[in-house]
Formats: sequence, C-alpha cells, structure tokens
Amino acid sequence: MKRRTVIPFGPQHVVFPEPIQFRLILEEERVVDAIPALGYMHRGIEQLATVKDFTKTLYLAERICGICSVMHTLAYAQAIEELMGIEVPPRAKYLRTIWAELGRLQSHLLWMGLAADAIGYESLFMQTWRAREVVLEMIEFTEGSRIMTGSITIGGTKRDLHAESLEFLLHKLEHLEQALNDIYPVFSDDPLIKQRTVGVGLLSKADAIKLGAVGPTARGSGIAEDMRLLGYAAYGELDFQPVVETSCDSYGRMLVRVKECFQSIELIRKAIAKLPPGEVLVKVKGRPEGEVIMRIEQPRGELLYYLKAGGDKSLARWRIRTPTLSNLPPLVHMVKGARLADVPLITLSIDTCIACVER
Amino acid sequence: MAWVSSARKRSPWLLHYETGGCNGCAIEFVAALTPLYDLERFGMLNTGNPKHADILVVTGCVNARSGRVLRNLYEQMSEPKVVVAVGVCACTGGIFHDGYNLAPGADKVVPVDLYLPNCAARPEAIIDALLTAADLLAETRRRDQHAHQRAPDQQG
Amino acid sequence: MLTNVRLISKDDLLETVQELARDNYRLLSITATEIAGGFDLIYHFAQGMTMLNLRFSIGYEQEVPSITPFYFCAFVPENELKDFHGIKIANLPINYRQLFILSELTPVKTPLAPRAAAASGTEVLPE
Ligand code: SF4
Repeated sequence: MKRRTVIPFGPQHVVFPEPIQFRLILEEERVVDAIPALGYMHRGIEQLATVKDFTKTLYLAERICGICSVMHTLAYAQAIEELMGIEVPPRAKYLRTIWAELGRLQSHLLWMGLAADAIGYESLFMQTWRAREVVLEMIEFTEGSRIMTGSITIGGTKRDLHAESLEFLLHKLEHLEQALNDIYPVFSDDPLIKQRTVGVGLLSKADAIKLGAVGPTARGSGIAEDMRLLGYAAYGELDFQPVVETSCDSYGRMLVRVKECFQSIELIRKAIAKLPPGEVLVKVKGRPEGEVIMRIEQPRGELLYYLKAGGDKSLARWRIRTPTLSNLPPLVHMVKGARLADVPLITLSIDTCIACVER
Repeated sequence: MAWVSSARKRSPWLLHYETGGCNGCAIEFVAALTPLYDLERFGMLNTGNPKHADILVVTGCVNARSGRVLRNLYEQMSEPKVVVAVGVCACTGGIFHDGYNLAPGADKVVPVDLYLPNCAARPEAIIDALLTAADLLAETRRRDQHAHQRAPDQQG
Repeated sequence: MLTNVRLISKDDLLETVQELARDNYRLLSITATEIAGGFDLIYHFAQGMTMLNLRFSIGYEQEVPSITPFYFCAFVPENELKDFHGIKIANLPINYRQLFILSELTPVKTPLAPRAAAASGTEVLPE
C-alpha cells in the first residue's frame, strides 16, 4: 500500500473569497478521498427567522448570500405571497425578472473571473471583472445599490423603472454584449484554459442524478433542468430553453455559465420589450399561515425553501436548501481521483457559495 | 531609516479573511482590486500569506469556528500590523447580532484599528479605509521604532 | 403550496425510498420541524419539475434509518438533522457527530429544537 498523506485545503485560501476546508487524503499526487469541513460561516439564519418579524426576515433572506441577494428576496417574497394569497401586479413580475437576470449576470461574470484566476490567467480575470462592473452599474442605476438592494419586497417591488432607466439598460446591455463577445472565444478556445478544464472533474449524467446535482453543474452533465421553466415571476411568458452541455467536465460547466450570460441578456431585452404598464406594489395586510415550498433557479442552481407559518408574527420554520449544499456530494465525488493541483479548479467548477451552504 | 518607512507606507500588502456574514463585503473587496477601482495603483497587493501581510482585512461576522482561524492569522502576521473591519457584520455582528453562533464584532477576537460600518461596504469606502490604514501603519511603525530606540535606556 | 404529499410511516421509509430511487427521482432535501413531543419530517424528492414529499412524524427518542444506501447525497441533510435538531439517524456512513456545521464552541446544542434542548437540560437560547 502506498503512503497516504492528509492535506488540509483551506479554510483561508487565495482562490476562494470564502472559507471552506477540505481534508484531502492523498496517495502521492492523487486525491483518494475528500472530507468537507464546514461551519466557518454559519450564522443561524433559520433560527433567527423564528424570532424575527416575518417582514424583517425579508432582509435576513437578502443577507443569506451577497451574490444572489436578489434571488433570495425573490424566493422569500414569492413564498410569503403564496401563503397570504397576494396577487402581484404584472409590471412588478417583469421588474423582478429583469433584476433576477441582472443578478445572474453579475454572479456568472464573478465566477468566470475567479475561475480564470484559479487557472492563473490574471488578465482574463481582470477583463471579466471589468465587464462585471458594467452589470453592477446597471444594478446600481435601477435598484439603487450594488449588493444589498432591497428592491424586491412582499407584494411587489419598491422601485419602478422609468423610460430613461430602460433606455440606459438597453444601452449598457449592448456594451456588455460586446465585452462578452470578446471574452467568449477565450473561454471556449484558449488552449491554456482547455488544458486545465477539459476532462477534469468528470461527473456522468447518471452520477449527477444520483448525487443530486443542480443548476449549471447538472446542465453541464446533460440534464436539461432549469427551475425557471416553472414559470415563476415573468419567466412563463418569456420563451427560452435551458443551456445544456454534454461534456460532463469542468469545461462543460464553464461553457454553460458563459452561454447563460448571453441568454440572460436576451431575457432582459425580451422583458423590457414586453414590460406592461401599471402599479408595482400592492398593500399587504395580515399574517401568513400554512405551508409552502418555493423552488427557484439561482445562478448556482435550484433553491428550495420550505416555509411553515402559524399566523404568528414570525415564521414557525424556514428551511433553506441552497444549490451549493446539494452540489457538495457531486463535488466530493469529482475530487476523488483528481490531481492535487486540479482541486481548486474543480471546487470552483461547481461555483461554491459557502455563505449559502451554511446560512 | 525614514525612507524605509515611507516606502512601506506606499506598498502595504493585504490579507483578506472572510469570517462569516454573507460575503457581500468580500466580493466588494475583490471588486476594489479590479480595473475600475484598482487598489493596486496604491501599491497594495492581495496576498494569501499572513507572513507577508501588513493589513488584515476582516469581512463578515465572526462565528464560533472562524474566530480561531482569524486569531491564528492575526498572530502569524509580523509587527506592525493594522486590522480593518469591513462591513457592519465585522464591526458589530450587524443583522446577525442576535445569532447563537456569533461573537458580536471582530474586535472580540482581534484588536481592530479601523471600523468601516456599511452593509455591503462600497469599493470606494474600502479604498478610503485602506488608505487610512496605510497611514496608520506608517505611524505605528514610527511609534514602534521610537519605543524600540528608547527601550534600552528605560531599562537602564 | 405544499402539494403532492404522501403520508407514510417511519417503517415504510426505506422501502418507499428504494422505489423512488429506481424511478430516477432526485433527492432534494430533508426538512424537520419540531412539533409537540417530537419532529415532523418531510423528505423532498423531485422528478424534473414535479415534486413528491414523503411525510411522517417521530418522537424525540425514536431513530430514523439513513437513506444513504439509495441516495448517497443524503448524508448532507441527515447530518444537518443531527446538528440542528438532535435527531438520531441509524447507520449514517459519514457521521460528523453533531459537528457538521455547528462547532464545539457553539454555545447551544440543537438550536432548531429548543423544546428538546430545554427538556434535556442543555442551555437554551435566550428569548
Ligand atoms: S455587512 Fe452586509 S454585505 Fe457585508 S457581510 Fe455583513 S450582511 Fe453581508
């Protein structure tokens, strides 16, 4: 038997902005087993929700994760609306869709930058993050802030978009598309990137189903599953198909994300073209009661909320199952058999969001 | 050796550690390093090695498990060092203040020199804080040097 | 709303889950809620867009069998149940012993089951 070494990978590591630890068990250069050690970011949000007012929990939902903050508020607001039987005005639904897609764009661009950084492609990292600033400019202009926007609320949205904002959005989208057109061939064809990603971190379709992969991780393995097809917010009225790749490796997952950026731009354009007039907010009275499950598609995959309320001022139970949590078992599977040097990239390829995992 | 001190003031290296929170601040910190804001023009460089770093940037609320890591990182940095708490989470615990797993504020674990309260601190604010930290660093250096020079005769 | 709920009993769990695994259902998650005298457990499965929820309740002292033989990924939510609620899981292959997300230094045990914690005399959350 070969000698085995245990290497702690993380929690503080330049590749991730967030702390996670893997205890990697190595035989020479190969990883034979990996044990994730979590808990470096646990805050106890599920417990806090049982003592806070349900309207204030909205802000807690926003702060589950700074990258998909808009999507968390969207899911929470939709869940509460379903419990209380509130019908959201159609204009608000479209605005929510636009903001959700802007959030997806910035998240994917963020990931592309980090992946380029992990590969060691510094200039590409800077390039993608420059493109990301264009998206953040749009977010700030239309929602009022860069990260914690608070733009979606129970019963609709807090802001409305005027003609000039829409004009601005369309104008900036063109800029962004140009920038993405420059970046895309680098990600898809550059030999350096291909060498580091093709065939690395294999996850077959059967394994992906068995291990419960979601989002781009599943779509990179040929599973055409996208919760946006459920038709929440305005997605039901915007025609689109999920992006699927069948190469089952890090390269495939990367391409899914890059292509989804273009898809998001298209969706925003369609939503702006169809934006109906009218109110954006309805009055909310009363307290929620009952049980509800809310599934939406986040940049990293499917988010699942289970809410139980008993007519009190705070919720009885709020279960948050974030996409990265269900992508962890596939990750452990992928890391086995990989070379040590590939571990950072494989970990990144599922787009880990530790703040989401540990809540 | 005034020139050493002034040269160092112009090139402090940063160590970033996210202790919890929602990583909104962490992302904004990385955004501050990238072309639009470009922290590197002030000679600041993000390093992963605590032994090379002069300024520790703490984002997010400190929880039961990450407090120890933060303490370790702080202790591994060489003197003089400055700690900047970025975001209201790192300052007081913020929205998670009442959580069962938290220390209310990074200053319960390491001595914090600068507080930047903001929920999702903007990159401009982060740059401002880090420039102040660089000044502070130069000052602590000078103070330390004086203390060092004076130390022998105090002993005598 | 919570739809497609199938009420089962604890003893039928493994058998039902085996059937679902054969039909290529995906395991989404497991949710536990503290109710009077025990826990209410919901296993969320999905096949494409449709969900299926298995539901049963257990007493504080009862043990739940692990479904990891059919869904290996269940070790994540099952360890969470142990952490946050103190539910006992039988035959768990990767067992973090209540240290999956919580740490040794966390001042409270089973934060999402305050009544159970109060009954067993460990520290309870301040109101
Ligand atoms: S201060 Fe706000 S943005 Fe920053 S980590 Fe805390 S919750 Fe997130």
